[in-house]
Amino acid sequence: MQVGLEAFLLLSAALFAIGLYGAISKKSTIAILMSLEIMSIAISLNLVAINRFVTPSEMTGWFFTVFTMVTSAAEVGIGLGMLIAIYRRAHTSEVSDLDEMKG
Amino acid sequence: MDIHGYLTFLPYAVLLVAVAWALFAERLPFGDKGAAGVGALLSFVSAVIFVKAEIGAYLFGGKILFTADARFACAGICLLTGIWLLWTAGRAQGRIREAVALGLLASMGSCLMVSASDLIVMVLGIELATMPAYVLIGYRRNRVNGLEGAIKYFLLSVLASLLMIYGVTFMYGIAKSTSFGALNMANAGSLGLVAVLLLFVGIFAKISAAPFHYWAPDAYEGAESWIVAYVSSVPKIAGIVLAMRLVNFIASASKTAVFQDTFSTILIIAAVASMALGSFAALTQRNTKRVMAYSGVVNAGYMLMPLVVMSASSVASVAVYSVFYGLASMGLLLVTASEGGEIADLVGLSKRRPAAAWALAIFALSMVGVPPMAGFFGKFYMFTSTVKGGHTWLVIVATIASIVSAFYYMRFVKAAFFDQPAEEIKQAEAPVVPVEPAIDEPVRTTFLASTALVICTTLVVALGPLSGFLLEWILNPTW
Amino acid sequence: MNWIIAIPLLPAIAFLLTVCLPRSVRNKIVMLPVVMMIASAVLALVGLIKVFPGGEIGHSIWSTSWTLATIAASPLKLSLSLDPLATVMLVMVSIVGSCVQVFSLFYMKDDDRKGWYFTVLSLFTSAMLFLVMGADLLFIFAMWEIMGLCSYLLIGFWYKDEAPRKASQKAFLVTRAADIGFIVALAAIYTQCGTFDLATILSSAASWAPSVLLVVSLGLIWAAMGKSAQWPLMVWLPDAMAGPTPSSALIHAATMVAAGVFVLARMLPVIALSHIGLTLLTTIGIITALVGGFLACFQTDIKKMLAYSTISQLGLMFVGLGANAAVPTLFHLTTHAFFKSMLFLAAGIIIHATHTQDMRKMGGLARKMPITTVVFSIGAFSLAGLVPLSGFFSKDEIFASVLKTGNTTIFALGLVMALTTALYVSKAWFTVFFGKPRTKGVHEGTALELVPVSILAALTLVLGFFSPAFARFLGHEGAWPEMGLATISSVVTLAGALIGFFMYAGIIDTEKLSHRFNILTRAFNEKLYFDYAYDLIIIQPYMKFCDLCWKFDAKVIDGIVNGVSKAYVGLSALSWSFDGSVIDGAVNGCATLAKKTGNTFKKLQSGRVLNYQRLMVGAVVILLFVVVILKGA
Repeated sequence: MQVGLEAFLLLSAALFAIGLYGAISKKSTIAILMSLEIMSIAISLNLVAINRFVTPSEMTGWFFTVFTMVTSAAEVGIGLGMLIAIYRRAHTSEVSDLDEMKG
Repeated sequence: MDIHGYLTFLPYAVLLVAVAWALFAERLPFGDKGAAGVGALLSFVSAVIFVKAEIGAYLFGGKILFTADARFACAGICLLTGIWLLWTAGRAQGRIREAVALGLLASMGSCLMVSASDLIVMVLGIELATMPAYVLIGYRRNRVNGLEGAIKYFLLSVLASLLMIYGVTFMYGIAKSTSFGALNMANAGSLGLVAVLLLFVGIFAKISAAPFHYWAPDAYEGAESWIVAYVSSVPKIAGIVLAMRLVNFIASASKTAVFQDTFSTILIIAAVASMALGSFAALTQRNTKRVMAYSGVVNAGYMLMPLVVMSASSVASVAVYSVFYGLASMGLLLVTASEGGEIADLVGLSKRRPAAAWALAIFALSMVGVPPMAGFFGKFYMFTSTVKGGHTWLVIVATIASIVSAFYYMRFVKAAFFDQPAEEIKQAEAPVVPVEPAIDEPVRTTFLASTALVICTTLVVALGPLSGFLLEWILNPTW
Repeated sequence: MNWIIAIPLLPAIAFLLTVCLPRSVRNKIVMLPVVMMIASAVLALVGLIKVFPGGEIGHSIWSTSWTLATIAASPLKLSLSLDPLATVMLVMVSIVGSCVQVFSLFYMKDDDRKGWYFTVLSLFTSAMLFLVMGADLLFIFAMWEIMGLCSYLLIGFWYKDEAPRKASQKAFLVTRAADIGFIVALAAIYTQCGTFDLATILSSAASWAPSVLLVVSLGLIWAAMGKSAQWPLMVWLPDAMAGPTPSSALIHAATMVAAGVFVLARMLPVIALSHIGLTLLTTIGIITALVGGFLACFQTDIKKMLAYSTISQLGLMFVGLGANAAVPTLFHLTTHAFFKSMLFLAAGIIIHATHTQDMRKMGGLARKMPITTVVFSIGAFSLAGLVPLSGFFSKDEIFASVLKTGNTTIFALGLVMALTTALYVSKAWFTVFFGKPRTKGVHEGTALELVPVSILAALTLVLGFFSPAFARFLGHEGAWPEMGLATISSVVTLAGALIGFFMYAGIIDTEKLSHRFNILTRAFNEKLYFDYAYDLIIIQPYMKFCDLCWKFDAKVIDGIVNGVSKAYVGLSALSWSFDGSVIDGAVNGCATLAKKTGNTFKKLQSGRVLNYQRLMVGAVVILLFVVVILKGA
């Protein structure tokens, strides 16, 4: 059996869906961050697979992958920093506790 | 990359110098305020260089393409950043050097966003413009509300970003390239449409268009007003101009009727939802920043409307209006930044600071769209170009939305000029209740802050009648 | 002839100069706007002489235009032009404006914001002057909006009191709701012409699609109904009394309400192309004229009575427009402007002297204030339509043109309106000036007040004899009133005046009458239940509807379903409110509805990130659905 582009795209779609489900169902900020990371991994997988099967002679997708990895790492850094700052003051890491502002 | 190419690249470098200055501010003369001042100066300088930048210049092997609208938006972004930093240098309290650096970085990201002609650069620009904003929202770490707003903004924005990048990966796959010029999505069936939809979900979230606007009211309310002044204006210009460029490139590369029809349906849904939701939800708000958040939603709706038409004049009108909106929004929030966050805190402003109260009235009137303020002309051009494109009913919706939203802008004016101070009433009725001061320090009017507001007010009043020239400048680059 | 532009520009300059100054300086240089205004009036008179002997309406004697911007290929122009009609209006507006400003010098002398008052007056007059010269519909609309803003500022001038604040908001909201019509008309015109140039619009109107023609006519009529206080949008005008009296004189005569009639008269060739437009004008006009007239009979407040009489007279002007008779209507607009502004100013003197607005508390003023009595009488008799005052001629011309259309029903109803007018005028006249004095310390007004009033009175006296000249100036055949018609209307007027006198003298026992027609009296005292009806028909059902929505909401489960249903309810409520406002102009209803809609939307903003994320993903799913399934690529 030849493993083609579709297989990779399906795998990444499944990963993305799992991450999305986690992001909208978890209460803990850490878990949401993890879910967002899974989505980011799905994106990287997509990019690498597309580069391999669609434009094998160029490296565009690989560069794109590197950049998305860097940005998601930076995002997680910011997220964790904010989480710590919130935990120090509000003594909670659950986003459901943060509903002071609404309306 | 000839001399003109370097000239086009120069403003980014100038902004980076300002960032570096701000990061090492404690070792440099005048400390934090000096950093803000230098940042303001260099921002104005880069605005001027952007004005002079050559049109049609490709940078870095086609990753960046300067068009007339991008040039205009970049100049506008730098101008607004300059005004903001000038005010910051004059009025902001405490440790502000990181805020200065972050603001400058976000402005640089915004400029990258609007001048990108490659999906990778676009994604990087968006991230560079957004990430500093998370930190800015939660800049005062001792305010729990600020952190709450920041984490909400962060989570929602990252979710939107990931949806967007996921769509972008498919666009790359379909087009076999990441260059804007090659984005033909029409032959890929539903997948092409889904990819474009996901991309625009991300952009809608950036410009806080409904139904992806949920972060904006909470994040704005939590942050300090002077931060909101920046976050509500500069990234919005960048987002809407980027949307405009994308629509332009994608529509011109993908020419089938079904694709274009569907594409404009997405834009119409977002525009109508934004106008309906934003105008009504703001009516009963009491917090200035929340009102401005919903006002941002309505305005995103207005600005998406001409994109449906996609004629040369509608594109130019959106670019011009986005800058007008940015000026009025920033001005209004900078005026209120010296007062409390509630609309009620503005009561008696005309007695305390008459000049500021008048500036506030001018910004509010520009938002309402009363001639001769800039907002009127911007709206007028957008609405007429939309009518010309055959979407009269959209303009009718927009007109109703702007009539409804006139109410809450006028509330600022009413509070500042007509309402009686609450203390007097309280003293008359009840025994003396100590009124908690709305801000930590008494208001000190400084020269730099006043200058920033004067510049803002002058531009809002003067640019309106000149908007014809601005449009001409965008439409006719050789002019 | 480029100096013509100075006529509207002088007050505009006065506005620009004074608006920038601090209050203390502004209060000291109130003479500047006054002098500018008088200079503008003098220039307007010179212009009248230059333009003599006139010509067709729309025949441009002088014009200028500068292009503000070019969008793609279509230019956005600000153009002014001077035709005989504009000339007449310039003279009227600038004279009334000057008289009001001079009068205000004394009337407002102790107010600590008088500088601001004169500033707004200048802007107001300037906007009206620009409006009458406008040769571009968009420019006219801009001026129209500025006038709306100015009336808001003037009515709410004494903002520290509750009533002016409310009245100014009411006026602003009602006229804004009406302005939607103007915007719709503008959009419709733009789709047909691609330009807002007045001459082009008027010349090409005949070739428009009938539906567009109808939209334009209805939109403009709706807009003018708000501005000129026609039934059922007249609710703002009586409340607008809360402003300073001289500014009421301006609003009621030369600027605000005149703008609606004027724009309709300008656009009458377009409206006259559709039969529906003319019929609508006549119907609205006659209803307004009668309702205004009847309500005026039941007023005891002198300013309120004058306000309802304005409504009634404006209704008559609409009837004239409905008869496709622009020239008589404009003549009545002019004469009415002079005598009504004069009546308001004279009422201002009386109120200053007696410290009351209630006519029942006045009396016997004729001896104490002879000059005021004479001028007020001239105005009042002119309003009633007594020969040979100007009001008689202009009213008669409108009646004549109504008869020419063959619509005798409207003519008969018009006579009823004339009867009521004479009735309330004579009743008020006798009550105020004769009988026993009921107030002490009454004194004549100062020269600064009496001179402008006397000028207006003199104009009212003589203007009637220029009735054929006025028509010829606008390029129409002028004629003296027909004897038969003049006799009928004079008899009706005298009859009305006699009834009024009988009521004053007690020969007709009003007590007994009102007892017998108890229901009717109560109805009139309650302003014909207009406010009540608005409450009953619109606000209450709408509250119930909101309540229903609310309960419906509460039962639907949280999450995405909730969001969608709320958005739907919000949208349906939105469309409902649109209907409500367009049909009935129920301002209060709309405001509350909008708030409720806002609250519904606000519920979406629950403050919980998880909900936001779910809503966002839900929106993506819905959009995907739209893209893939509905549009099916």
